[in-house]
Amino acid sequence: MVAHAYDGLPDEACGLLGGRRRGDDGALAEVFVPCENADRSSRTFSLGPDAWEKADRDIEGRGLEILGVVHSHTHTEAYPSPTDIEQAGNPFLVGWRWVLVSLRQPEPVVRSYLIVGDDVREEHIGLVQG
Amino acid sequence: MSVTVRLPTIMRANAGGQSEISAEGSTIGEVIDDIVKQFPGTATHLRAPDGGVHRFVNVYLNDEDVRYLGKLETAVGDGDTVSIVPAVAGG
Repeated sequence: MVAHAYDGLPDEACGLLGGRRRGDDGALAEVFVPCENADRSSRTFSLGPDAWEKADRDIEGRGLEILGVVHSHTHTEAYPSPTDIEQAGNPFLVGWRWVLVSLRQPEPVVRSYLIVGDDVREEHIGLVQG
Repeated sequence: MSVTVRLPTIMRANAGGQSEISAEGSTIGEVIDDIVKQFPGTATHLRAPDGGVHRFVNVYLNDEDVRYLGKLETAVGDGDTVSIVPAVAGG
């Protein structure tokens, strides 16, 4: 995810996370599918139809489900922007994780959030040995 | 007119588990009406509170975004393919 964020510079980079839900609100992400940012913008991102269909099929083909969307903030913190919070109202994205990769500092920062209405809740993320 | 409608995996649970369905209509708007009529559960994703099509839905007719064609009034032909794609975006 971080490499894809750097590759996307100067624009925001994006992609989808595939994996399995665990319990009530946990999830195990197993794959990140990098997508092209159709906006080609440093301020916004969107997945075009080709990127969506390819990622959707890739994740389904692995027997996984889409857990969330990943995107980079090139010059701001790893926190959902007002645009992100507004877009999280999308009924297709209910229960999705919003994973932010901030490249603002020399050291990249990755954080994950669940967004319900205006409520933004950060969740713990960690690496597990597979 | 009968068209093939391709659905994202997210919608399949509301469409009898199918990734492609057939729908009837002479315009994109009528095709969407028919999808919701056949599978009322799809209204969650397709219908805006005002009864229109949700703004988070992108609709493509044979790979062309209908926003740049005739929007919901876009005419469809027999055998066309309509793709429903979630608008995933942010900033």
